Amino acid sequence: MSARDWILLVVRATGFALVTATGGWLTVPVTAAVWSALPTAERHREIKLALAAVLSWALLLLWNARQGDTSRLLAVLGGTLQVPPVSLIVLTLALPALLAWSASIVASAVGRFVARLTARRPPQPDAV
Amino acid sequence: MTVSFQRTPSSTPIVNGAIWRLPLATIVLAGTAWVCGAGAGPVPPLGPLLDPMTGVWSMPAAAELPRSVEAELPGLGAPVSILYDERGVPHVFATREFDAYRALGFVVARDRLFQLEIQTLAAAGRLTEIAGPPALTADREMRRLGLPRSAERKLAAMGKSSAERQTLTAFADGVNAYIEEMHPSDLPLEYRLLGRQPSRWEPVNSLHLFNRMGWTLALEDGELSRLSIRARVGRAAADALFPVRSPIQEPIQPNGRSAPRFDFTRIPAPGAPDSAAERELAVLRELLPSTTLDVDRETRAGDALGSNNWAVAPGRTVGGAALLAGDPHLDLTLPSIWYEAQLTVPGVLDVYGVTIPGAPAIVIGFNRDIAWTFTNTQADVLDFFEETVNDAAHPTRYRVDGVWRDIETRLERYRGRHGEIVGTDTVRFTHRGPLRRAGDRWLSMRWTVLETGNDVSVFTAMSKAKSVDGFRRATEPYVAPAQNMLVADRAGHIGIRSTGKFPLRAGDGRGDVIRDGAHAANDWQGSWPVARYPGAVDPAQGFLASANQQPIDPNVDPGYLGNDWFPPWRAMHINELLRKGPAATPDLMRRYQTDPGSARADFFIPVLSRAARQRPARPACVRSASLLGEWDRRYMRDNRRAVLFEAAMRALPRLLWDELRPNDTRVGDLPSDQIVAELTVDSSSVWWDDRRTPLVEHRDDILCEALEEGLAETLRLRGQPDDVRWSWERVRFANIRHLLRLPALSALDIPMQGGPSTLNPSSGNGTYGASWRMVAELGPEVRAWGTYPGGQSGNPLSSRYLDRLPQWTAGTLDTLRFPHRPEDLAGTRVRSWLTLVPTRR
Repeated sequence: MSARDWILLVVRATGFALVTATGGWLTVPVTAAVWSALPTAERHREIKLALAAVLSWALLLLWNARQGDTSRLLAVLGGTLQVPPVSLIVLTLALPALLAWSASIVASAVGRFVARLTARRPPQPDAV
Repeated sequence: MTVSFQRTPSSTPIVNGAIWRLPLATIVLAGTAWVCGAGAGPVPPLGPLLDPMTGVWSMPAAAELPRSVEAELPGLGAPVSILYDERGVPHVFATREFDAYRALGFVVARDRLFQLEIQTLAAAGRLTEIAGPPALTADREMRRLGLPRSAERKLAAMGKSSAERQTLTAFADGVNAYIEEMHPSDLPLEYRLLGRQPSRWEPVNSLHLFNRMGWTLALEDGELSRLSIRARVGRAAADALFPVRSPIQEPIQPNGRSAPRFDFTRIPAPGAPDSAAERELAVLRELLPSTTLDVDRETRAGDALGSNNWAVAPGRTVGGAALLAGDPHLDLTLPSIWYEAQLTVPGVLDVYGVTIPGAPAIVIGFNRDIAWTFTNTQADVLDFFEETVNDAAHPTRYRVDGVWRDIETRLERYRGRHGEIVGTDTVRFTHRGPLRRAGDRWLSMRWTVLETGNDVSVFTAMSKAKSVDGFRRATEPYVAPAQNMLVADRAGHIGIRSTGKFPLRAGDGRGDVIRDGAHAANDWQGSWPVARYPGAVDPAQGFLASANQQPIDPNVDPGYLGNDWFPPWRAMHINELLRKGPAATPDLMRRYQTDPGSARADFFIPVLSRAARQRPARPACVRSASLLGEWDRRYMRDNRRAVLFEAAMRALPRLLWDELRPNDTRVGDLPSDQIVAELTVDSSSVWWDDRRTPLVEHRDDILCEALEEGLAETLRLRGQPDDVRWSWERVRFANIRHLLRLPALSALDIPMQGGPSTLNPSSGNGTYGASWRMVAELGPEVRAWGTYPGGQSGNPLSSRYLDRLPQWTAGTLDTLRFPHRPEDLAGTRVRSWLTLVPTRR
């Protein structure tokens, strides 16, 4: 990844963290969709957005872990749901990844579709 | 998953190599969003659950009380200061009484929000709203018993401006203020797992809760037991096997004796089966809810559902002040059924104790002048009446004294988790109570728990009483569930009274028959006058005690009060300790609460030993008795003989009651062990003969066989007698289950000191026991100690969730701090401050 990619990752992760903190989990796919609808060319954007979303939630989890006894939470919740505690962390981080990745792809496609409709010309396959 | 990265997303062709990406992404997005937003099957919505800011991950940060916080509470007349002490107990200092109840609602909701709601849903027959159709049976029982209707009628009967109504409203205001101000991270774990949000608290919910207490404590099934026995062996034998008069008399109201009286009589031989009783039994089994049979027989027989209380007059105490001790035995749950709090309003109210979350008052506790506690009276306050109806299938009227009366109907709708209707019922009522069909008969039920009263006011009034007399006056209007109310005051008086509405019935006064509802003369004729309630004040013996035994010696008052008395083993042991023990101290009272001695073992061990001596040719019997002879009859955790005794005592009814279908282990279908005790004095009674064998057995044969079976079972399961598996702590445990029965949130398999019918009973599945222990010394300044199994917080992540368990298990008590002013609870003893202020907008 280039330096630009790293900077973008940090900016996006910060953005995801902020929107999650203010609006909850539902803002993750919405934010990813908005970013993906922007008419900029970027390789593997959906992957990068997913990575940023995961990073943002990981940071929020770390922040929470500093506020209280997360290990007890993991034990209680893992026991209650009868799953290994670590799977809860994996599941938690998988959610933003899936939401951001899928929303990004869908939003890109919708964006392109709208752009073509706006341009009043039949849809053309993208050039290689 | 493999993803092709040949092109940038903005230039990805939809129609070539990555054609699957869009459909796949669409499916993933839709699926993830669905699971996050709505959940899937038993999985709650994962979005709110796992959201890092407001989901479960935020809970640890909110698990402990903040050092200081201010909150607004609508309707408050003036600011209220609440200090949480080091045990997490809120000390509420208000300047107006209703503000104190508002604050109580707020602090209870803060710590026990989910418990408040689930208890109410259970009592109101609305569990389907969180559990769906599987809860329909339980909900139907509540509604068919008329409990929700009763709560609504009780509320309607209160004047809108009555103090009682205002108390309920104030409490509701407090709960709702907390719900409205609650931060998302404070949402209890259970709501998250169920994917629910808390509901608003309505004043009627407190009445649902009181009704639920009545359902727990006053829905007696003694009638079922007697009828089932009558159906098998006839009335005379059944009356002797389930006597209205306890054969061992150690009543709550002292009868002037210095020892129990054994009124043992010869039990009539089994008679012919009573087909009429069989028919009545079938009817009652349809009417009495199956949940009353939930308690396993061993738990019931072992008194784990019973309670103890006693008070000692100053003349028998070291400190020269009255002492009071109490430990109600109830369902052990997490969070606990009890919540500790202090309510202080200068000049009006100054009380400390435990409340049941949802009750706008202290239920058991003490103030600056008195202390009080309860045990359940076990009175018969429920009767059935067979009604004559106009239509056997769909009755609309019933006849009384030749006049047709309208049947009230109420359409009950049961709603599911999403508000959908999952069931309906038409519940009918006569003037007596709920009317239900059983076979081809229609029976209405009258039950004091359903009747209007002023019980909320009574709890408030008892908190303000200043003397034993004042307490007794305050509790006179109390209706249900009837309680043995024990009180002691600073002036050195002690008193007890079995208090509640006790019906006066027509004819012989018995309540264990189905009466003909066609005649008004069969209705209840009123209720016992308070002056007739069993009780005593400052008895000559210098102490008072109750343990759910028969309240009054039938030689003193033969009036019918009930028939479902607990065997008096615990009462006998308490009284023996108090009669023979040294001058009492608070610490001695504390130790008595978990005393492992057993009047039951004291009675039966000599009987079993004597039988073994009479049968020297039976080596296993002799060995078993010899092993029991090594036991000090105390259920200490490390003793290795109680297990054998209990095995023999389990075998005994199996061998003895062959006439009563011993393989049928339904609750209460077999006589209690005090009847076995009674039978032991009649060595040749035909009951001792095991009809399944060709021989004619004698008492000592059966007792020996029980010893042999007990030994064989214990050897088979636990090895030789010196094996550590014989230790009592390997046998009996307390199991304190979370309200949702989630093992991870429960405290299970806790070794216990105490056994069946000891003061700290541990029986059956271990889910019942001492739910609160308190000792109070009524000196110049009231001092008290207490604990319960659990903690103040209902949050499993809180350090206050289970912090009292070690004390409870060890039988120790915490000092209960009862400051006069906030300043008295100084320094490190204050864990947190909460200031409630009137709403500013």
